[in-house]
Amino acid sequence: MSPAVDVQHIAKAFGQFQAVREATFEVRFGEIFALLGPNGAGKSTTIRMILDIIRPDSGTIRVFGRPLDDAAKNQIGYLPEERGLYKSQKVLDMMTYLGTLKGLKPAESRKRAMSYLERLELADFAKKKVSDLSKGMQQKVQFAVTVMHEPRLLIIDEPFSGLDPVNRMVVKEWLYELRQKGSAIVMSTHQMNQVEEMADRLLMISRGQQRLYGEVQAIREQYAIHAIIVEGQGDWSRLDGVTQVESLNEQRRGAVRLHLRPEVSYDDVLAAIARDDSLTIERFERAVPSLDDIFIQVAEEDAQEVRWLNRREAEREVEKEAV
Amino acid sequence: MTHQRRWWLVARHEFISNITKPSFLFATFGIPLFIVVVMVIVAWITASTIDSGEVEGERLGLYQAVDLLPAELLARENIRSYKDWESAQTALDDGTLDALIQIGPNYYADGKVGLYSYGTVAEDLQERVEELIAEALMIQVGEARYADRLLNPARMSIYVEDTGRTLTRDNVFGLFILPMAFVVLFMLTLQLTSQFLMAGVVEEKTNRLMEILVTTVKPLDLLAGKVLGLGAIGLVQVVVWLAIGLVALRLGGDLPFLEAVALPLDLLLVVLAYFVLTYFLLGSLLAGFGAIVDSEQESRSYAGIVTLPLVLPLFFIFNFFSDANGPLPTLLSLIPVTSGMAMIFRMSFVAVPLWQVLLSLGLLLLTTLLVLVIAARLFRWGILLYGKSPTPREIWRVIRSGQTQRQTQEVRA
Repeated sequence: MSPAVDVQHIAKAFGQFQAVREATFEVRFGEIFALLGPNGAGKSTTIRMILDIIRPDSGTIRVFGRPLDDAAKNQIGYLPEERGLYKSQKVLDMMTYLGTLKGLKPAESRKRAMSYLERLELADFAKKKVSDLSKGMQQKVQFAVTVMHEPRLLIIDEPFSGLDPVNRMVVKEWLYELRQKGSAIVMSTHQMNQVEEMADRLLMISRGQQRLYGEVQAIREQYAIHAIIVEGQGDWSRLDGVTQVESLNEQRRGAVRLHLRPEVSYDDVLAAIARDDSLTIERFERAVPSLDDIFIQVAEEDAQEVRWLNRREAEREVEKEAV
Repeated sequence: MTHQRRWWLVARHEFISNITKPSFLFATFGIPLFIVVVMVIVAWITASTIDSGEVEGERLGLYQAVDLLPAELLARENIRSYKDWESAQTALDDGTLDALIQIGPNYYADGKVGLYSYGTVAEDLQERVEELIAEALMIQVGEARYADRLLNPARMSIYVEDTGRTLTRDNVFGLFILPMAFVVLFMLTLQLTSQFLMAGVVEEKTNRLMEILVTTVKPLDLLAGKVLGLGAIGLVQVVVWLAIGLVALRLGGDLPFLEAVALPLDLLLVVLAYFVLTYFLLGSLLAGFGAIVDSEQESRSYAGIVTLPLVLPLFFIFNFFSDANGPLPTLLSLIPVTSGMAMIFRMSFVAVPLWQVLLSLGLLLLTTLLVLVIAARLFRWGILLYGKSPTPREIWRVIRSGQTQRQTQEVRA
């Protein structure tokens, strides 16, 4: 089975500005795929290219195994980051209309709209105008509109922005359910904890360049350093094989990261701690970096590169002037 | 699902959601009611003025230096004759007379007649004096029964054999008022629907619904659906106005100048064709502009520019009167946008060669299709332009290339 989305070497420039330099990835059915990157990294541009709102300068994009066509559009649900609805229309009428545009029959669209409103506990507002709804309610309606036609590919920009914890849970459950049913879900977000919790695979782009791509867990492993995180009391530097004790500014006091010599195994350290009566531990784990750490690290590397390039540029200017 | 269904869905949605708007209901029912009320007031005021200006009861005096008006005519009309000018003037001064007619000593040579009164002289009185003098002249010739003909030698009817229409002096005004009424009607309808159209596009653009819509519906379908749906709204409005107008006319009784308003079928069909095509042309243009502007306010100025050429023929109305088949009227009736009004004018006044009508309609149709495609391109490209206005050069590039954003400066990345 071909992937839901197959992107090969796309690039896109707006005038002088290179929004996307190079990206190659695929999104599979039955997975939640996270699209990460700092502001202005090219996430929205990439999404818009997948949706054929804008066309790449080079590279190919296939959706459901072929270039995006109208039949495919009926099976896509898209929720842009900045959202809006027809404010002066009645909730149910508007949902029915947008459902029919996605190919549902009017009666079916109305039925589904109503059942989704019930599920979101908004049934009482079906006949109300959209503008009468609170912002959070409107967000939920927008989400319902996006998934009403049970899309095989769902693309959401910041799915949880503006939602309270309860509604965040509702939307999250809904996304899991869609994944269970085999839909491919692309979510673009800044919230790394959500990605760690929900996403199966991820793509991180920075400055239009693809930086990380693959299984979320594998990427975290890839960035793992040979270290452990411990919490407890005692002088950790006394332990054999520890090269550096790094205290972590986490909320919990006393957490430190112990960097280890390559030949020392985690079991060796644990055994050593157990043998040493002056040390007590409450927590002991491998130091797998959070996506937040990785994100910051990658962004920082890029920033350094930029600084280096700028310096080179400046030096060249000086050389030119000297000549 | 096929595309026909898509644009149909959009059209139906636009129709239903706009027809219930208060501004539509007000314009559709409020404006004609307002006009009817104004007309009733005007009619009432006019009627009361005529009552007070009663000519029959006025006391008229006459001093004639030559023997023009015979005694029996003066007796019949109850006009008092004075032998000398001073006593006639005294009678006017002391209020014995309302008005005084003075026939000069050289009347047969110079035709000088004076009409004296305090206050204004009713127009009807002047006419009556003219009629009296004409009658007196005919009596002197010995043919009193031709007095009417002397005043009004020919009531001419012009038979236009190739259109089968008859023009009389009375209904020339009717012929003129017909195209005028249609043009005014069309302008009002166009203004309202185009405002809805632009407001809708600008709303969808600013709240980003457009991004969802274009990933669902082809821009051309979206555009066609909007133009059609709102066009249907305009049609409803025209029908309502016509119905109210007809009822008002029926209630108002037969007005002589409206006799010619009986609309020939051929003209009606041509008028409809121009209405529909011109509406599509302007509707697509406005929707295209709606997509590239950033606020409704900005869109209004574009709307003004786009709809201005529509009324251009009105400025040359005298060219149409004098020679409706002349070069300028012919040219205006061929250029799309102005062709609707110009051709309706021409066809009302004269017989227009069939090939010109067909050429004009053909040009209009071609232009409309072209504009529809261009507007769809602008539509697609414009929806991602937030917070900035494109330069004419950028717009031109998009229209030519049909490509979206390839060269544009900046879109939200």
